[in-house]
Amino acid sequence: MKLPPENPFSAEPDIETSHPEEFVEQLSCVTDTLPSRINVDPQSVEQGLAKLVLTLIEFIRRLLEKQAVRRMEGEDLSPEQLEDLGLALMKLEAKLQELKTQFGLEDEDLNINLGPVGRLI
Amino acid sequence: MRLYLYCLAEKLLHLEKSLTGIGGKGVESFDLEGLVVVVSQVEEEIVAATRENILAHDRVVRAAMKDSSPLPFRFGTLVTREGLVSYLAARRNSLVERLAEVRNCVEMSVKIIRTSDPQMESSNQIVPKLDSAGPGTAFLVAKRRALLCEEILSEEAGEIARHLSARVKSVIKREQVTVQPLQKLVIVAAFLIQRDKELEYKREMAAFRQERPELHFLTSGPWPPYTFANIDLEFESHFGVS
Repeated sequence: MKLPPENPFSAEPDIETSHPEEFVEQLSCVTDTLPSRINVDPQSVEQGLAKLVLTLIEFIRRLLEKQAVRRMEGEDLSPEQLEDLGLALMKLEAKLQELKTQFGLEDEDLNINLGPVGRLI
Repeated sequence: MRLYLYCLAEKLLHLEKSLTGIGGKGVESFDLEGLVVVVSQVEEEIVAATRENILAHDRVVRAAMKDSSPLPFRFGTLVTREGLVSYLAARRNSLVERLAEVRNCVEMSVKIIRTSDPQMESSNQIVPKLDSAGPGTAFLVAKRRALLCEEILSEEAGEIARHLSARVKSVIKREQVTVQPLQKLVIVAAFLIQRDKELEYKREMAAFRQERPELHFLTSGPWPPYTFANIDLEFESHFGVS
């Protein structure tokens, strides 16, 4: 640990880590510090809106999955009901994946930065 | 002509004449409505979010930090003089309070990467694979395992955050700790500390690092209190990404 200073009130920051590459990699992923906006360019407006809508669908889909898992844990579904519920959610996930591919979106695109509250998903 | 805003301060600053800001423009500070603003006069309506401009913004705020504890504006804040006067007149009391809150303080930053990933093993033990189940049930079992992983990760991340906060509690004034349980970069924390507590804070952080050898740290500071300023709400940032 490097303890600086003859001049402890310096305005120059110390930056210290033993793993710089690892942090550069992680921090370079943080691209959403700039406010994201829907681009009104006619070619990309469709993708911007799709990103917003699919994010909300993904959020709801995850809630449904959690609810299904809770019901499975509660053992209040018959094996047939469990299988049907699982199949339905599996199809929903596959459909969402298909839509993401169609609009050229990756998993990490489906999120909304809510500022101090954090990220939606 | 618009004003590019860098920061607010409580007293007039002695900025070096050679100091340059956004786009190489000169920097001036003056008293307005009883508060000191640090600005550049610019013609542009949008400031490009380039490396040079972002570093220029930080350079000016840090220069102001040499003899004050400024409240930095968000990068890209452009306003007319009339708009600024009206903003300061309306918000003067809360800005004075916030300046008092950061007086003689600096921000210290901590980022933590989690290196171990033991949760998958334990979740597999709790939720065994069901070879005889149909695809729908197997899907739900896999989801249950994934959710269990998330819960374990959240608990681990929360424990790291609590440990960090407890360690520095005695030397900080305020904190903002963001926990990201599902990411490798698990903790992003900012601490507001009195300038004269900097060495003490660094000793506490050194002790914390020793207590948690399994974690990777990036510590930095002192910074202007960007995280605790929060004075950009009334202004939109006007910047473009080139």
